[in-house]
Amino acid sequence: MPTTPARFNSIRILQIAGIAALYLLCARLTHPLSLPPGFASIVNPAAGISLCGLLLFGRKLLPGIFSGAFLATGWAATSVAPDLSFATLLLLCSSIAGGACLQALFGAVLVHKNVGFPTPPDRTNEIVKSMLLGGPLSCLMNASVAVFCLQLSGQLLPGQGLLNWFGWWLGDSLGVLLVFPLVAAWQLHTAKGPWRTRLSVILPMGLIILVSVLFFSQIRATQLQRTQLQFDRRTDHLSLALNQVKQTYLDDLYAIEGLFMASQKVERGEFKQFVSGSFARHPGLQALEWIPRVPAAEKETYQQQARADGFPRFQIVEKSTTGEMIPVASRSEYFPVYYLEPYQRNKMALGFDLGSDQTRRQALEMARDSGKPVASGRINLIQDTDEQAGVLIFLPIYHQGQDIAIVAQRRQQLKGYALAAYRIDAMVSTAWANHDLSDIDYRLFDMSAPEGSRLLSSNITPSPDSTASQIRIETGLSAGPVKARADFDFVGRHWRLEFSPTAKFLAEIDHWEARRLLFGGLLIASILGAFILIIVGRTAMIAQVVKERTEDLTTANTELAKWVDERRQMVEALQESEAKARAIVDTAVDAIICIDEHGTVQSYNSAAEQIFGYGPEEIIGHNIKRLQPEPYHSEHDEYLRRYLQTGQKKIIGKGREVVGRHKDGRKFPIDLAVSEVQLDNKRLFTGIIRDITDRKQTERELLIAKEQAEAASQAKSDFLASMSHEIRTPMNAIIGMAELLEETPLSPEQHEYVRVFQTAGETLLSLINDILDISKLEAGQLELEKIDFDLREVMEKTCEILALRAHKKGLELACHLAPEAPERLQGDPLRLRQVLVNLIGNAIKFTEQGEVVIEISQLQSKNPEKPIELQFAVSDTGIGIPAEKQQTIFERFTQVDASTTREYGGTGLGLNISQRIVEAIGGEIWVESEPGKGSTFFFNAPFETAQTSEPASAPAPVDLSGLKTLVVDDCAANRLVLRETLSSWGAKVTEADSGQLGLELLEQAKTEHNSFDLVLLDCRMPQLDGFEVARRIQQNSAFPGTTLMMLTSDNRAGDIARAQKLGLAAYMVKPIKRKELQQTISNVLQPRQPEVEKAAAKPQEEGSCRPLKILLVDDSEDNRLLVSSFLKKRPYQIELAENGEVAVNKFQAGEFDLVLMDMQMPIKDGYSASREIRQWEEQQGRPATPIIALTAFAQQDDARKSLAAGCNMHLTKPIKKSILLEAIDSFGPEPGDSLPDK
Amino acid sequence: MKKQSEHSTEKIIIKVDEDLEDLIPGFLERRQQDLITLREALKQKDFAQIRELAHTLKGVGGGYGFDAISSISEQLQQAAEQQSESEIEQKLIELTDYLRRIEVVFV
Repeated sequence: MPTTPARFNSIRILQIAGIAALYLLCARLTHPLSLPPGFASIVNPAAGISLCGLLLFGRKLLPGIFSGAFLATGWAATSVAPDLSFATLLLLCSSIAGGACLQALFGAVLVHKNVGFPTPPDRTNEIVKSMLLGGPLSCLMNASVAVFCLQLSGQLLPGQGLLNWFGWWLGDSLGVLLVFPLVAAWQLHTAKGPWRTRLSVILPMGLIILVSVLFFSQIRATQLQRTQLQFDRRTDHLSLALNQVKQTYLDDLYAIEGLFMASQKVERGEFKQFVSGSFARHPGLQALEWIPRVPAAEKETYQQQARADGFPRFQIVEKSTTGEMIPVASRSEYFPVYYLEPYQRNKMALGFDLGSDQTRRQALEMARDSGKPVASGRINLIQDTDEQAGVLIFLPIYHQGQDIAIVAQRRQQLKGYALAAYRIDAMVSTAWANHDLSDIDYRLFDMSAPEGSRLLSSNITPSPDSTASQIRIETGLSAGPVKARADFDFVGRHWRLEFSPTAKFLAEIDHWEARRLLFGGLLIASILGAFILIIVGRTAMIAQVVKERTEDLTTANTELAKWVDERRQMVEALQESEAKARAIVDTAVDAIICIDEHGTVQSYNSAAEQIFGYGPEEIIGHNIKRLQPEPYHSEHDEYLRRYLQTGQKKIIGKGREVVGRHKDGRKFPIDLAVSEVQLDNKRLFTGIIRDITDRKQTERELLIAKEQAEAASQAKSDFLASMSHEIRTPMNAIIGMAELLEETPLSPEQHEYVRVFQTAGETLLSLINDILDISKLEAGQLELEKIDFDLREVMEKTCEILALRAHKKGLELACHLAPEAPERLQGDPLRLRQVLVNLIGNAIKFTEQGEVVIEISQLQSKNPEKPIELQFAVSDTGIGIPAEKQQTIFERFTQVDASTTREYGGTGLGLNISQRIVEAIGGEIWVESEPGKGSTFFFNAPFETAQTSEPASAPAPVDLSGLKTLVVDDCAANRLVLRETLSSWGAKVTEADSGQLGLELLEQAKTEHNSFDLVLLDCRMPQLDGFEVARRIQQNSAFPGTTLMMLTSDNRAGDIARAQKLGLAAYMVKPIKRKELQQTISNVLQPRQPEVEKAAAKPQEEGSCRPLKILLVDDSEDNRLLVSSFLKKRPYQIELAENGEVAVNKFQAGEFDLVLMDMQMPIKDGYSASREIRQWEEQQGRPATPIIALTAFAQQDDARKSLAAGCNMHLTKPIKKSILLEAIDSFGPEPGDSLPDK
Repeated sequence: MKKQSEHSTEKIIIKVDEDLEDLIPGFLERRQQDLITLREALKQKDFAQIRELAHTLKGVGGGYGFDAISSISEQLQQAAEQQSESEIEQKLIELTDYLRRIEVVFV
C-alpha cells in the first residue's frame, strides 16, 4: 500500500468521505437489482470500490468504507424493512458494514501478500490471481456475515437465506471483478500516456457495461410490461366484479322503491317480507331501511305507530355529543329509520334520525335533489358491535304520479328514502369470492371523501406498528413498479381501486433472466477489462522494453563506434611496436633465432648471420640442425621430440654451452639459452646464442692461473706445515732444556743466564707462532674448532698462567665472569685463549702499577644460530693509547710508536692476529683508552651452547708413582723432557722413537702382561704419525685400559676433533708446561675413560651375508692377493684389474656393487679411472657404485683428491683387514634395497 | 732419525694374521725376486726402474704387516730419485738383511 505521511489529514478525511459517498452511490444505484428482501444486489461495485480503495490508499480508508456501508445498509433497511427497531437497525447496519470492511481488508491483504499492488501489468497470472483473490475469495466474507445478520434480525424469509448468500457473494465478486481492472488500468503507467491506456481499458469495459445495463434495462422493462399486463388482466377482472356487485346492490333499492310506489302504505311486516330475500342474495348487505319523511307534526304519530308495531320504546333519536342516543331535537322534518331489516343485527339504528348526522344528511339531500341514488362516504356502521367500514346508499322515493323533473318538485314530492347499508369488506369479498387474491394487494378508496377517511377496504395486513402501516397504507407507498388502478363511479361517488402485486406474485415472475443477462454481461465486461488490461500492460511493457533496448542499442552503437576507433589506434600502435621489436631483435648483439615445434627456423637476426655465416634465406624455413655439428646435428630432432612428449626441461629455461657450426664448417663453442613461448596452440622456442670462443679461451687461462695459484697456496701450506714443525722442534728443545736446567742446582748467575735464554726462547717461540698464525690467517686457512669447553676453566687457566707475570710486576690480576653468563660453550677455546692471552699480556706489559681486570658479560644475541653472545673486556691502568693511534694498533707490525717496540718488546702482530681471530669467530674488537689513565680492550664473540655438560670440577692431582708410561716421539729431546718430567712424578717411562716401535713395545708389554697405563704420542712422526698409531691401538682391542694422550707441536685444524674420534683422552700442544701436563694426566686418569672403551669390537669377518661383486684394482699382485685374502671369508665375487684402463673396461662390462681402487697405478691411475667411471655412470643414468680409494698417501689433501675424483671413501695403506671389512660394511644395504641379482 | 741395526742377527718376529698364511711364502718369494731385480737395475743404473719397484714395494709391505719393507722402500725410492747409488746400495742391504731376519708368526 502506498504510504502517505500523517500530515495529509485533510486529504485523508476527504478521501474517507469520498469513498463513503462512492460506496453509498453504488449501493443505491444497484439497489434496484437487489434480491429480496432487498439488501443484496447481483452486482455490488461498492465491494470493488472498497477493495481498490484500500489497495490504492491504504487502511486509513476503512472508516470511509464502514460509513458508506453503514449508510447504504441503513438506507436499504429503511425502505425494505421499515419496521425494524432502532437498535436492531443499528446492529444490522454495523455488522454488515463491518463485514464489508473486513472483506475489503481481507481482500487487500491477500492481494498484497500474494501478488502485490499495483500488479505488474504484463503478468497474466498475477492479474488473474489478484482478481480472484480480491473478488470471489474474499467476497465470501461479507456474504456470510451479512446473511448471518439478516437471518438473526429476521429479515429473511425461509429459503431466502441461501439465495441471498449466493447472490451477495456473486454481487460482491462481480463488483470487484468489474472495478479492479478499471482501477488497475488507471494505475497503469505506460509510454502511450496514461489517458490512452486508461481509456483503452475503460472504454471497452464501459461499453460492455453500458450495453449490458441497457440490455438489462430493456429486458427488465419488457419484463415489467409483461408483468404489468398480467397484473392488469387480473385487476381488471376484479374491478369488473366489484362493479357488477354494485349494480346488484342498487337493484335491491329499486325494488324497495317499487314497493313503496306500488302501495299507498307499506306495512312493516310487508316491508320485512319484501326485503328478507335480499339478504340471502347479498351477504354484504348489512341492512335495508325505510326512511320516511316525517314532518314535525307527524312525529308523534309515527312514534305511536312504531310502538304499536312492536317496538314499545321506539323513539326518534339522534346522537348526542357524547355519543348517546337521545330524543331528537326539534326540527322541521325528520328522517328516522322506520323500517329496519334485519332488526337484530342493526337494532341500534332503529329510530335514528338520519337527518341529524351531517354525512347522512348530505347524502339525503343530494339524493332528494338529484332523484338518483346516492352513496355515502365511509361510515362506521353502528348496527353492529364491532366497527366496520360501511357505505350507505340512499334512494329517494317520491310520491306517486307527481312531476319530479326539477329539484323543487323533487323536494316537494319526497316521500322518503330507501336505504341500503353495505359492509364494504363483505361487499368486496363477495364480489371477489371467485378470485384468488393471495398474490394481490388491493386498496379501495372513496376519492369523494375528504383526506384521511378515504380508505374503504384493503387486504394489506397491518404490521404491529399500526400507525406506521396505517400511514403507509394511507399514503399509498407501493412496494414496486408494478401496480394497477381502477376508478369507477359508485352511486355518485368516485371510488378507486389500487392493486399492487405481492411478493408472491412477483416471485412467480421470472426476474432471473434479466439478472442473469446483466450478470453475464458484467462478467464479460470484467473479463474483457482484465484481458485488455493484460494486453495493454503487456504491450506497454513491451513498448517499454523496446524503448529500453533501443536505447541500449544506441548506446551500444556509439560504444562500438568508439571501440572501432580505439581498435584502429591500437592496431597502429601495435604495428609501431612490432616494428620496434623487430628492430631490437635485428640490431641485437647476440644471435636470436626462433624455431617452431618441428625445429624449423622462423626468425634469424643479423647477429646470427654474423656468428654462423649463413644468410637468413639459407636458414629461415630450414631445420635448425643445419647450424649444429655432430652429435647435436643428428640428435636435435630427438631432443625436441622428447621434450614435446615428456615436457622435461633439459635446456629450456636454462643455458648451456654447446658447439655451433659455422658455414665454413668449423666448430666453435657457443652459449645457448633457450626459452619457450606458448602462443595459442603454437609453440615457439627462442634461442639466444653467443659466440664464446673468446670466453672459453679466457676460462682456460683462468683455470691455469687458478691451478697455479692453488699450487702456490698448497706449496705455501706445505711450507708452513713443515716449517712449523721444523722450527718448533728445536724450540721445544731449547725451552724444555731451559726448564730442566732450571731445576738443577745453579748458581744465581747461571739462573740468570738460564732465565734469559728461557725468556728468549719463549719470546722466539711466540714470535714464530704469531708469524705462522698470521700466515695461516692470511691464507684463509684458519679453521675454527667447534668443541665443547668450559669457559670458567679456560679463563682460570689463562689467568693462572698470566698471573705470574702480573704478580712479578706487582699488578693485580682479576677475572670476573658474570654469574648469568653460561659457562658451557661450544666454540674454539684455543683461539679464545689466544686472544685473551694476547690482550691480557698486552695489558700486563703496558701497565706499571695498578691492576688488570678481565670482565666477561652476556649480551643480547643477534644470531639465532649462535645464541650466546659474550663480551670480554680487558682493562688496565696502564699508559693508555692516544686516540689517533687507536685504529692503527690493530695493524700488523704496528705498535703505538716505534719506541714501544724497543721499550716493551713484542712483534706488533698480536693485536692483528687477535682481530682476525675475533672477526673469524664472528665478533668485533675495539678499544677505549685514555692516555695516562689506562685502556680497555673489548671484544664480543658469539658461541653456541655446549652439547654436553660435564662436571667441570678439576680432580685432585693424582700420584703418578708406578704409572707405566710409554712416550712415543721421534725427537730425542722431546722424549728426554717428558721422561724427566714424568719420572719426577714417579712414573715409569719407556721410550719409543717411532710409531712402529711404540706399537711393538705395546704388544710386547701386553704379552708380558705388563701393559702400559699411559701412552704419550707425538703427533708428527715419519711413517706412522701419532694419529695412525692411535688408530691402530684403537683398532686393536688388545690394549684396553691404556690411556692415550697426544702431544703435538702444531695446532693443526681439525686435530682435536680427530683426536677425540680416535679415542685419545687428551690432546696437548707443545710446549707443554709441567703443570699442564700434570693436570691433564690427572684428568685423564680419572676412572672415566669412555673413549678407550669405545674401541670398536673386532668387526665380524663374516660380516653380512650379502654377496657382492667387487672390482679390485691394484697394480701390485701382492696387494691384490692380500686384499683378496682379506675378503675370502665373505661371500664376495672378486674381479681383479691391474690398472685403471682395465678397471674402467671391466667396470663397464660387468655389474659391480663395489670397487676397491688403488690410486697410484701406471697407465691410468685411480683418480682418472674413478672419474671415468663416474662419468660413464652419469651418462648411462646409473646410480653411483661405491668406490673405496686405497692409497699410501695419508694426508688430508689426498683424501680430498680421492673424493674429488669420485671415490666415496679413502683408506690409507697399509690397510688392516678389519678396517677394510668395516669400510665395505659401511656401504650396507638401505632398508628396501633388494639384493643384487647377479 | 731412527736407526736400525745393520748387522744384527736378531730375529725380527712379525705377527701376521693366520688368514694370510697361504700368501706369505709367495710373498716372500716375490720379494726375493724383487731384490734380484733391484740389484740388476742398480748394476744397469736404471734408476727409474729402481724407483718404480721401490714405490711398489712401499705400497706392498705394510699391508702384509712388514712395515719395515715399506719404510725401507720409501727411502729406496727417494734414493733412486736422487740417483744416489750408495744410498740405494745401503737400502738394498737393509732390505736383504730384513728379509733374512724376519720370522713370521701367524696369529
